[in-house]
Amino acid sequence: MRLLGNLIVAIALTVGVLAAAMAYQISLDLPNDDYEGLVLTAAAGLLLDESGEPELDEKGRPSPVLEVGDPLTPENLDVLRTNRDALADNPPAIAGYRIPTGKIRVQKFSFARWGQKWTFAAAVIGMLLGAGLVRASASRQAVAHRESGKSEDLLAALSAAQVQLGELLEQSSAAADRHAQMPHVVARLSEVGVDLQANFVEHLAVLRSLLATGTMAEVMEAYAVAERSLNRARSTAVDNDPRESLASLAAAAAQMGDARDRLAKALAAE
Amino acid sequence: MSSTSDAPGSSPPADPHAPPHREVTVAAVVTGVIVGTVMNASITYAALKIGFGIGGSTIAAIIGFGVLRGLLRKGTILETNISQTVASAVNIPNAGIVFTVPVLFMLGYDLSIRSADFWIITLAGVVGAVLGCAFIIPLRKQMIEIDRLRFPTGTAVAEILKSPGAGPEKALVLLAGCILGALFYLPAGLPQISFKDAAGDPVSLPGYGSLGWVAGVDRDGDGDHDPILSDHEFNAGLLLGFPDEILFLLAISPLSLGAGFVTGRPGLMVLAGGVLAFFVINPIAFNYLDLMPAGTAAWEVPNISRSQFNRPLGIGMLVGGAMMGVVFSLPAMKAALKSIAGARGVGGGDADELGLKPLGIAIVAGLAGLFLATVLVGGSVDDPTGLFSGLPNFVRGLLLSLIGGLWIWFAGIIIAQCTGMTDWSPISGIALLTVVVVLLLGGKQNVVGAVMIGAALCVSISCAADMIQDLKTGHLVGSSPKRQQTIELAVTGVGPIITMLIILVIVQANLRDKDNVNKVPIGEGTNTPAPQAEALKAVIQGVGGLSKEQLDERQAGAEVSNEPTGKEMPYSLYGFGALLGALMGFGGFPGLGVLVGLSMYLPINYILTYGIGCLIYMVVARIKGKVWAESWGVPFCAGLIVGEAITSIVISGIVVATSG
Repeated sequence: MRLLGNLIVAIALTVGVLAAAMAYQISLDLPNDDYEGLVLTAAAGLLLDESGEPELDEKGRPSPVLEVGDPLTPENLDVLRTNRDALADNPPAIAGYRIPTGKIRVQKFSFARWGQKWTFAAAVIGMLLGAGLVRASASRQAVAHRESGKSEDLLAALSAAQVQLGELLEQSSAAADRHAQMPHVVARLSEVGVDLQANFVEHLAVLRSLLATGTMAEVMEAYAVAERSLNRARSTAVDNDPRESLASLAAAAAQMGDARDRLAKALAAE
Repeated sequence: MSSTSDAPGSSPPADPHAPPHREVTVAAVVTGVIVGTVMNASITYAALKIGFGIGGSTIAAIIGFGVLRGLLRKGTILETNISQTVASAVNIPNAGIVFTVPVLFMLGYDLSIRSADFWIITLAGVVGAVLGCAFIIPLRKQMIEIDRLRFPTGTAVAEILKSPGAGPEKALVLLAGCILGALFYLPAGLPQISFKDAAGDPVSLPGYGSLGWVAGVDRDGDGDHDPILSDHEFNAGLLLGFPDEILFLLAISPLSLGAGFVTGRPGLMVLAGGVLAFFVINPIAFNYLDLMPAGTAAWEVPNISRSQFNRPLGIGMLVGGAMMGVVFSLPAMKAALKSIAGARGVGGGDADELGLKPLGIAIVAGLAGLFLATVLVGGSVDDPTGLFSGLPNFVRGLLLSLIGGLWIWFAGIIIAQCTGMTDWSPISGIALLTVVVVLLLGGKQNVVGAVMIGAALCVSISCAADMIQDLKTGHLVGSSPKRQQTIELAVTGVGPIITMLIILVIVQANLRDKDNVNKVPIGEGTNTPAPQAEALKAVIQGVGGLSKEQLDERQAGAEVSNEPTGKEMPYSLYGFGALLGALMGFGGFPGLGVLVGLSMYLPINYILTYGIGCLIYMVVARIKGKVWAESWGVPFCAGLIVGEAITSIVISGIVVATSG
């Protein structure tokens, strides 16, 4: 269902963009009064020679009949309509170029002149429909996650990290030479960081599907505080400052526990 | 939040004699200011000359390491992080000013050091920098801690900072990435360097284009076969025989490739959007819908589609997508703000985030400065063409500064999200839109005011993006957000002053240049063509903004034509884009509109290279596992980012040096 929803969104988006792109493009078949005050924002028509073939410049490019900024006076409109009919009657072929079909681009938008407004409306409905399917799929996934017990793995990852940090703190605090202990602290913290990335951060989609945005924010904020303390402990250990490193390590262990408690509470409340 | 009572293990006894850990030090701040100033000056000149600026965080981190750890032999990782934070804060405002302010010189407005407008615009730049930082700080928790956006450059800087403790293997991997990135990018950058031959003609150094790999066609009729490999791009479509209207072009940019890898799977949305725009929508528009101007060749379709509808729709999608992102993130933002207000933090007591009170003071002061600048600026006259026509100057200024401030806040969110998700920030598009909207509100005579607010906005969003990148780096190395935020807020106002003064120096140098026959202050015909400002000038003129000469004529009673020119902005496309961007957010991913909008707005060459980076990440993660991809792939790709950034700045330095 998710795939179908995304496919519908992609198709509707394509249609919507194309319809929107035609917002300033109008037909040459409107009454002349409708073009009053309008100028071209894109060159229009193709100059034809006496034999009805397009006139090419020195680089082999076809030349337009009217340029950007030319006003759509009745005379200019007549020229464009005649040109359109001539091109339709005897369409020339120029490699690498398309022959214009008589649509022109103007500087002012009007709903009344926009020929693709209903196409755009259909695209909007399509996008809403697709988004609805994606959301429905996400709800089903949340139920599946709840039943699979994956959230327990996330809790376990935080608990394991807290234990590892605590053990490292105890071991390092008890060392006779704390400075000599710092390379070990760096190595261990790098490992804990990798484990957390693999066992917690990579599976956050599970939590996002289970928790409300505000609750998720509170859990993630608690985790991020612990993560930052862990990073600080590592950085200061690299710089061989046991005092700051171990203080940050102690904070990280406590904050990891706090994050775990918050997660457990949030999951229990769901 | 943080109770220590249930923690296994015990806190170590504090050593009262141990010095505090080096983090915010005089050495770090002074080094940062000096490095930032030098980078600001050289990048300002280089951006005016070659048309694009360079973010400086990676370079600042490396120089900071060199000075603090190498020369002074006492720098820590956290201290170096503060130093790079300061340096990038001083440097980055140039990105906002070089795009906007030079246009006033081009339109003939007086911005000498004695003119009030010069100092008012400088004030607006300073205000923009402060507002950008102050507005983005409360979003740190949401973007970095809750949404966990990747910020590829921020991650790359963190990899550099962490490298001393990463072990010799990882340091080697990072270094290998740097070297490969530099070597790969070097031939793309070398042609920017030119010198004069014996006849006095400029000659550029050879690059990839000099290899002469061309296709057997000459589509543009210039007499030369079209290149498959040019200095900056590889045209795979030409090589593979794709139809001309489908542009399969890859930028030669290790930075984009690396950023794609670091972003990983979420970046595929950008690739998907680019493919949709350039491989599906453009060919349909050309072949079936007659959407191109008459006489458009197939090979011109990608560029024309981009300017006519992809770009405005893309910017609209960015705005709509970001708006939807904000709506869906409101509960998370509320939780983050509650947390900041509650001043909880690392260690269980102290606040680790700048509180709402100082931020509120900074924001109010910034808005007051913006109001003052809007009221005082020379172009602020009651123009009958503006929507606010007829209102007293005070009220008009108040309305413009409030709308400007609100837009600065929202644009900062857009840019920060884009930077976080992809490393790109669509500053130029947002700035163009801003200047045009201010011209519509204030009137076409208010070009100085419009450019001033545009400059404030550009500086603001550049600073916001930079600050959030720096905070990401800080998170990854364990820096205190509060210290980073305080120091960045304190120094960020220096940057706009430096850039404005450097621009004045460049203008004076141009005016004294013997080769500058027409005495053009900046732009075409000078040593600093300022291509970005030229683009803004075209837009301002397209919507009827007046040059100084036209303004003087109008004030002398002459009629200035209000006839349409055919170069008007397609306002409705922005609105339709915003609607589509917002709708995309209704699915499972509220930020989808931002990513797809960005991919429609940006040139395809960077999107494809970036997308390849994302795909490589997925392949590596599948074959070797995600842990391996993160542990080894990310440092290597951080190296690619750093390698290109270093090469770019070295080349910019040579450009500056060889230009006299």
